[in-house]
Amino acid sequence: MAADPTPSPGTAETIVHAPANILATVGEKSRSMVVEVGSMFWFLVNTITETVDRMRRGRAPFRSTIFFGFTDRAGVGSVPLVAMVSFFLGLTMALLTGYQLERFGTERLVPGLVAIAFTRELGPLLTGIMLAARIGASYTAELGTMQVSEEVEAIEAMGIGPLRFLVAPRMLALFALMPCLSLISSMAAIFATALISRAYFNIAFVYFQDLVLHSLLIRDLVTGILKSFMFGLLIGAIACYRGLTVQGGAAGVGTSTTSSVVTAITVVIGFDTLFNIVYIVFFP
Amino acid sequence: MTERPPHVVELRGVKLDFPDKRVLNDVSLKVEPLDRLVIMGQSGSGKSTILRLILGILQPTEGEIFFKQFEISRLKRRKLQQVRTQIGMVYQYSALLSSRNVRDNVALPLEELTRKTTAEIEKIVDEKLELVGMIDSKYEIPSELSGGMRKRVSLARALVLDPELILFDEPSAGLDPVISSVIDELIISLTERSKVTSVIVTHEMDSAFRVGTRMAMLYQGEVIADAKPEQFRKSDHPVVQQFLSGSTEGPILEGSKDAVATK
Repeated sequence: MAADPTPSPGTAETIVHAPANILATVGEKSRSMVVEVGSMFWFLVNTITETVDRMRRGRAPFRSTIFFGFTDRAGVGSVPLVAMVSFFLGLTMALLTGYQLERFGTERLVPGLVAIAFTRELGPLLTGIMLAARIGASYTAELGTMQVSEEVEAIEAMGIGPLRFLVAPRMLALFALMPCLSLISSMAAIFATALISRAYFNIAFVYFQDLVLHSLLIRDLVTGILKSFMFGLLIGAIACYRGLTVQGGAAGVGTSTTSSVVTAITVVIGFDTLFNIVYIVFFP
Repeated sequence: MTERPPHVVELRGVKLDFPDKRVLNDVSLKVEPLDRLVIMGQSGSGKSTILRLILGILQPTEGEIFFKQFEISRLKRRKLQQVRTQIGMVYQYSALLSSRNVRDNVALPLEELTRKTTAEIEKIVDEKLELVGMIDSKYEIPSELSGGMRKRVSLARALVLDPELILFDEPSAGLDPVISSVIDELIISLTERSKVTSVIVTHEMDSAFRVGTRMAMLYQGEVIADAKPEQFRKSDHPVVQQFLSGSTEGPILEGSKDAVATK
């Protein structure tokens, strides 16, 4: 082949067109991603306007029993999982960092390190990932099944706004409960660190408390809480959007649920990174 | 502004394209007050699509759709939601909310769209369930009910806001002949007693002639016949004749994939 001075037309075509094909695929994918982001944005805007519209007519946007049902499921129901996972992660982190720092005799930095890491970063992030999997998936599957069995259309046909009736209470429940859960996550991790510090590094509980309170800043707490609110909103919006746009029966519900969890986790981590960059650049 | 039509529903030159095909091609229909218009046609001919267009769930590619004086395709979301409360819809598979019991399903429009007290709601729900003979199953969930019972609950739900128009999508599909007749009689008695107009989509002949006061036949996206039942039966249109007789010989199967099976 190499000796042949004129390459065969097929080969030439492949060489010329392969990059173009890749470019076309990339273009197509990015285009559909932009469209997706756009429709998700409008989905959020429409949900808010539909809900506000209803409130302006002097009516509650949804029944409080329905809302508290969702907060119970999303919030109270997630406490054991969030607390347990954070506790174990706190233990591991304290142990690993402690053994390294012990070599330099600075193991008393461990309480502050874990406290800052969790209140500001890991608490909200871990809670976000866990809730995307635990609650996001259930929202998508539930709404997806309703969509497939024409229940959503029936609600719309009755003259009830499905976004206000189905999406708003779910999204608001996640939005409101997310900061509480990430606080619980941080507390569980700090508690685990206190145990490890006492058992392995001889730091008394009173001293531990002092170290934590001295190293924590109000802004760490506020950053974590702000982030949590945003994560709650994002997970809720993605899960409900994916649920209401299910196509293709039972298999469609499955695909959408997977996609909901994957998208939510990716978006949460991506948003967290962006938030950190902006935060560090503008508020050093 | 187009002038206000005196009909309950009017479709004027409606065309509807889906990405891969044209579903409706110039459909015009009028529904007079207290009519029970039966729309017939093959499966997939766009019958149910017409109901979705009347409800404003789908938008026509071309043409106008009126419900009373409202042009459905031009209404803003809030107004459309208000107009929809005057229309009841009974879905082919009932579309009851599976996680709520019968009472909650029927009460839903009242709870969400009116300012009635719980006692008033309870009274109306009982009354409507009584009307369709489902009062004994008030606290059962939809999965515990048979197809016919679900359809009756769905009908009670459609009636709960006292609509002026009820749309039925295949009311007798999937039901045995006896229950199917029960549903048909229920439709007749309810529309007569409650003075509502109805549009019924079906492809079952017996049911269609039992219920309809007018019949329209949809074929290849167009209304090819629209008449009172007795005239409809006498129509000399070959498609209508083949549809009525259920014969495999005739224009309906020509060139269709189903034709292969009959050879």
